[in-house]
Amino acid sequence: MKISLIYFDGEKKKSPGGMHQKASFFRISNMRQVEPPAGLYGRIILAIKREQELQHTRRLVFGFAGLLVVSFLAVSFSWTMLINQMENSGILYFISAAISDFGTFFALWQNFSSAILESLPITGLIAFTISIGMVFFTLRFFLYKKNYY
Amino acid sequence: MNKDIFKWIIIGLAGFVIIVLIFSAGMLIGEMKARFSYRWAESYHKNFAGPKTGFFGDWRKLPLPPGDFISGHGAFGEIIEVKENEFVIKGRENVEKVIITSENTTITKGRATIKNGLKVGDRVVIIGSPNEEGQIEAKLI
Repeated sequence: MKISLIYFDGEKKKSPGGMHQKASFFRISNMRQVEPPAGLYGRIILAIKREQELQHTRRLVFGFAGLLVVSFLAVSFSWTMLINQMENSGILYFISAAISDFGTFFALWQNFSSAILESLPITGLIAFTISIGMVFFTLRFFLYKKNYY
Repeated sequence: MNKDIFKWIIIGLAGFVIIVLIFSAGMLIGEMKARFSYRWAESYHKNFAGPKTGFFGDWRKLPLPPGDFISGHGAFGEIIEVKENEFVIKGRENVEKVIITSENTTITKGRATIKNGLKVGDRVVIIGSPNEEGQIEAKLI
């Protein structure tokens, strides 16, 4: 695509009545067509593209920061919930008893397994797993998008 | 192309099997806890002499703790009563459980095995199995 720029030569001109005009007049008859500098179109397109990329990046960074804050809050909340549930369920006592004496643990493995499974803090575990998954998803999403742009 | 489809079918089936196993384990554990909770509630009058809500309370209401069923294979808490071959502990949410001991019960304190060393106020962890009367037959204390 070829772009041609039209320049107008402005000059002071006396009016027929002898009065000077203060402002410049554009004289259509003096219009001359000038070729634009080479690569101007490319530079304009590049500048537009850069501006678009900058906007995309800004949007991505703000979105990522928001999502990351939310997911870290979720991790913190779910971690507290998980710890509370673990303390209340007594699973740590059963695991500790199993670890402290492997001989007894292997002799009573069915009872130990049932006791540990019965006291699993399911809600806390699910919430914590989902929130950790959210953090990883956010980071991966950001890295992927960053490479994409 | 065919290899990819085959791979995804295998992954899908494996995932399905894992989900079914986890679901089945959840059902099994839930059933065990529900069964013990039911027996514990049914035998409450006998084990603890009187309804949990008091004699003037709603005796038809099951004295189950709020939130969850009771675990029957493991317990922890403070001993509140000691009898000849059993003792009572008060665990989380103030749920009392009757623990039956026998000659097969191993009682350890730290690394050492002890005999008849349990007293009121001790904090204990019990591994055992539930019986038909809503009590836990201890195997390890």
